[in-house]
Formats: sequence, structure tokens, C-alpha cells
Amino acid sequence: MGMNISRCEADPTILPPPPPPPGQGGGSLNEPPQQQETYVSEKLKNNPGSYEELHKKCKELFPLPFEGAKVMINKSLNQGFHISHSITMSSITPSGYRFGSTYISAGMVSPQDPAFVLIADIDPSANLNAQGIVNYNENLRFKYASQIMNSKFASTQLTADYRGREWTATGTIVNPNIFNNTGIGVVQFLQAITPKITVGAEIMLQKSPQIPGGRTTMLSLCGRYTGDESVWSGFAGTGGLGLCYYRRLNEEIQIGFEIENSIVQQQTNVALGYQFDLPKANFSMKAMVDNNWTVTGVLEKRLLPMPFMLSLCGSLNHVKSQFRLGCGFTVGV
Amino acid sequence: MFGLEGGDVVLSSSSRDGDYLPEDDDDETTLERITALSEMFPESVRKGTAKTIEFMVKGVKKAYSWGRTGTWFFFSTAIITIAPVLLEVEKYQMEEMQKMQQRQMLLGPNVARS
Repeated sequence: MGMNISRCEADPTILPPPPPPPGQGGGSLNEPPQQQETYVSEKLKNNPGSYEELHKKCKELFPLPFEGAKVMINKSLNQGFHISHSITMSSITPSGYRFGSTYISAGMVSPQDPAFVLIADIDPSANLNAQGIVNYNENLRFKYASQIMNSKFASTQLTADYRGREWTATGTIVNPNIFNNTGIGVVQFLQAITPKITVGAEIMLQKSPQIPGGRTTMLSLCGRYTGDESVWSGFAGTGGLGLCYYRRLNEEIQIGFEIENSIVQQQTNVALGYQFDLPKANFSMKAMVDNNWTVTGVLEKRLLPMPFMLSLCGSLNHVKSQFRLGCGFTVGV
Repeated sequence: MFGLEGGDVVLSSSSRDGDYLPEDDDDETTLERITALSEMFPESVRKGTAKTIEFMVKGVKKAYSWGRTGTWFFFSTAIITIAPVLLEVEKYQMEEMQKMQQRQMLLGPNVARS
């Protein structure tokens, strides 16, 4: 996939935010309910969305390669309570079992926002990823995410998100530690200037004894232009530059192109990908070519009438002459 | 009998025809005579030809090698990124055709496709 550089991942001293648990992740055939655009309230229809989702349309097209075998069983115990068991067997990433659960509250603060959502997954060594989302009302949302590894809190993240009529403001604190005076704070602001153009800015402040000077700041600006069928988005800042292009060719094919440059990691990544959907045949395919001469393809097929889904992933690195094959099987919705 | 004096040319009995040349008798193998043909061309022509042929041979080898790499790259990339789509689309169209045929058989040939 294209390199997803969020500010928090750029620093090697902190761990990335917890990955989405297996029950919520998944391909285009598995869209979780809160991401579908079913109803947008009148007040918020010009709202530009959140800062993380600015480049989402383009980045969503790139496949996530995986290796080895993965079997996942999803069950719905209740209307709001879903659990998942997943077993991964692979020689490259350590094999294991993970148990994941999602609870969506029945009470809604608005036609599309439940009052709160709890997502977690845990494995037998007590490594836990947990996320809680509280929607206070349709404008204000709080998120808490934490990761426990080896019996220690590896990362904690607290986010507050306010959506106005045409703007969104977000504040995040990651790994705050009052005793050592360390932590990362991020403030983001996004404004929709016209219905098609959105601009935003982000400031990140990091305090840590390992940084020369005790603290570091990063500033970044971003913009997005939404055309009829295409979306251009880009960002520029002290951390690097990036540009993304997304286009829907017809109702089956969408293409995306991305260039990302990172000053911290001293590298540039270019990726070109497409997504092909054939819902009538229960088939979806994502493929991508990278500037590291890596070709990845992920295929997902629903095997009706049983609620099975088969996914196959092939990733070929021409330079190193390495091929990885992944195979996944999901039972349940 | 008259005696032989220096400067007289002795004609042997092998000289039946008149175009006998004394150089033909030198000890020369055929290979040496062919090699000596190269003296027909000047040095620069000889060197130029040798270099051109060497260059062409190398060029053909490289072109074959690139052709191999390029073909491999193209086909392996196509298998990973495009082949599943093409196969699934074809399978889907085949199924649709079969369904249409079945519907035609059951309900007659003039049923509009829903």
C-alpha cells in the first residue's frame, strides 16, 4: 500500500496507533455501518470530514498485502455486539490467535451516530488493542485508543473532534506522561472554503528527552479539490510533501495515484493502484504497483449462498525476486 | 656439351604451360594463404569491422536478456493485477448467458430480459 505517514508514525520512539481490529477491517465488501453514507444531516452536509480522512478516497484503493493463511469467524451475538475469532498462520509474521469484539450502543445521538462504540481485540499473551468512541452529539466526538503489550501500556491516544457547519477541529494527545513531561500533542483544523475545495493545517508538538532540545514541532498544510469524478488532495509541511489523485472511471473501476515524500525517512514513494468491483458477481479486486518495483494484488470473492468470503493476496517484489502469497477465509458477515 | 654459367635460368620439365611463376613453389599452407588475404584491407577497415561485429553480437545478447526480463515483468505483473479480473468477468458473462438461455427455454424466446 502507499506509505501512510501519519505524524505519530514518523517518530521511531513511539508506537503507531492501534490497528483496526480484524472484525472492523476488511475489504470493500465489508464496509462497517458507520462508514456508509446513508444519511447526512442537513447541518453537516458541507462538513469536510475529519483530517485523517482527507486522503482516504485515494488510499482506500491500495491493497494491504498479507502473507500466510488467515481464517476469521465473525459472529453477531446481539444487534450491537459482534465478536470475531481470527487465526493467522504464517512463517513471516508470528502465527497466533486473536479474539476481537465490537459493541455498538443501541442509543443514537443522531441518525448515523451511535452514542458509543467499543472495539477491542486481544490475544492469548494479553496484548490488547482497544478503542472507544463516544459521540456526545452529532458535532462532538471523543475517541480513546490504547495498546497494551507485554503487560505495559505501549501507547495511549485521546482525541476530541468537533464538526462545525463547514469546518472540523481536532485535538489529539498521544502517550501523555505528566511525570516525565513527555508526550505528543496534535491540533488539526480543516475548513471547507467552497463545497469543492477544502484546506487544512496541522501542528504537532512532541516533548521527549531523546529529542535534541527537548521538544520538536511539525507544521503541515493540506488541501483537497473534489471534481465531478476525481479528487485531488495534497499536503506539504516540515515532515514532507504528498499528492494523491483519485478517479472513478466507471461504476466498476476506480483508480488512484499517490506520491509521498518524507523528510524524516528520507524517501519518496510513488504508487499507482486500481479497484475493480463487480457486486453482482460478489467479486472485488485491488491491485497496486509501487516504486520499489513491487506488484500487489488482492482479490476478494464471496462464496454465496453460504456467508463465506475468500481472499487471496499475491505480492511480487521484482528487485529482490521475492513472492508472497496470502490466503484468507472469512466465515460470517 | 655446353656448361652452366651463373645467370642462366634452368627450365625444369614441369613448365609445360607458359605462365609458371617461381613464387608458386614456396612452402605455404592454405591457412596461411587465407590469413594473408587480410592484408588486402587496410588496418582501419579491419579494426572497424571487428569492432562492429563484436558490438552487434553484444547488442543481440543484451537485447535478448532485456527481452526476457521485460517479458517476465510484464506477464507476472499481469497475472497478479489483471488476470483475476478478466477471468471473473468472463465467468460472470458466461453465467448470465446461461441464465438467459434457461429463461428462454422455460418461458419462450420473446421474454424481455429483466
